[in-house]
Amino acid sequence: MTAELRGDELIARRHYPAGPERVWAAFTSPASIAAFWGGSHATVPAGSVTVDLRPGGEFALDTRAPGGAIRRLRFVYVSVAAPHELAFDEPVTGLRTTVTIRAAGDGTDLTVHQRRLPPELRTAQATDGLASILEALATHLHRNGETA
Amino acid sequence: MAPDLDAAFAALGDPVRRSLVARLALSDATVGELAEPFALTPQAISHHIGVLRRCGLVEQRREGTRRPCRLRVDQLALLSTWIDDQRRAWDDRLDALGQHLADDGAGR
Repeated sequence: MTAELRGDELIARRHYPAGPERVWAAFTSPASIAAFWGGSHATVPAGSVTVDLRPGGEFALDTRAPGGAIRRLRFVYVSVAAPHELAFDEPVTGLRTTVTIRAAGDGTDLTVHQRRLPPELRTAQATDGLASILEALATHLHRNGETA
Repeated sequence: MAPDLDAAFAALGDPVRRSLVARLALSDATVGELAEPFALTPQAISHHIGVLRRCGLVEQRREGTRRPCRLRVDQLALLSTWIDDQRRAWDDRLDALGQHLADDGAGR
């Protein structure tokens, strides 16, 4: 497992045997975004990807589910620091995603963080607080499962 | 009914409300019982419970003169499911990126 839950913050992590510039290019060029964004479950038509790579610029794409349903996703770049950090918001959900790219050994470490809380609450305290809630929840579910 | 995720996440942005949720995860409690460990008035606790009730995380029932609060664990679980969904999507996407980088590198 290379992803972990830390409070409200999602962290996914990968090491790639490719340099930061290549990983950055993959995340910012429409052709390669189309190649990987849908993962194994959806496809992204290459012509649907638009990238306006600057803070305030829009990043949009269509995802096509196996059943054929097409969904347009729109994001707005918040920060663009090639080739190390890319942050974008999804205006519909208020979700902020930050992709961090670092040279490591003969390749690249990539990290993805997501935060949904309002900006003024994006503090370590808030993150730890929700983590403790989810721990309490797990304990609660576990205990109820035992007595059921 | 679909949970109001935005309202729930916003409600949990407050440290007092997170503490109340953590306390209610242990057992049901009245506003008076919840007020004791906090340096807050029952009125302030009532306000916070109201916010948690409106977003569906807490419910209050009547037992004679007592009105105990109960955590809606099912609703709270939906929040963690939402986060898990995001994790799965990104795991899948980053695997596909690894494959894409490998294919792209081989083609050079």
